Amino acid sequence: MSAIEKNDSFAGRSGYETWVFGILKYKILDAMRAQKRHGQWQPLADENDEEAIDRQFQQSGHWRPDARPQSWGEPEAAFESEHFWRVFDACMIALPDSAARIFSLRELMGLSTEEICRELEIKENNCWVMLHRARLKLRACIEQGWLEGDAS
Amino acid sequence: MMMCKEATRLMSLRQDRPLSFQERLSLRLHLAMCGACRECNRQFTLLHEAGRRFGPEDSDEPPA
Repeated sequence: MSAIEKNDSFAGRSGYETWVFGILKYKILDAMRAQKRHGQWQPLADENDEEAIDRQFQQSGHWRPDARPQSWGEPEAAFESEHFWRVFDACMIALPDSAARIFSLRELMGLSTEEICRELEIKENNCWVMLHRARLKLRACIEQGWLEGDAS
Repeated sequence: MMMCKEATRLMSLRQDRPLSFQERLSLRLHLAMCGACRECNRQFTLLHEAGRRFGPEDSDEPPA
């Protein structure tokens, strides 16, 4: 299914962006299905994820002093800052593939975890665990880049 | 007593599904006492919001 073929049905949609994103969403799902068929999709591949998360917490479950979340200021100010989006982008790229993919499907594409798990044929619980890890990593990465840039 | 690591699990979860009454209560209690987790909670919400700005209009939330 391509954008050209779908052109006829565009008239009724609310906007061009919605339309393009709708297609993009299916493109990504198609790609995932193909990968799964070829056995490349391994949602549980990066087990040392756990290490990256443990670096933020002490054994007791409290934040490590050097990893305690700091204020990022007003969300609006961040969204209007080009620097913020550059950091966001760089941190997305730095995420392990499976974490980046699942985060994109959930937060950028707006799929529900139920939809994601149906596509990937994994348990929903697994999805939540992966998203939790992805968010913790992303927040640590963005915090570093965003607050550093802020100070300079 | 819930620790920060477990609290972040609930903060993440609430971006993906509604929390149960028990989960909401434990999270709220923890957040009342823990400034670092309040920041983390804001950050997860901000990440969610960032995705919505970046992404499609037709997300999983029903129109108001």
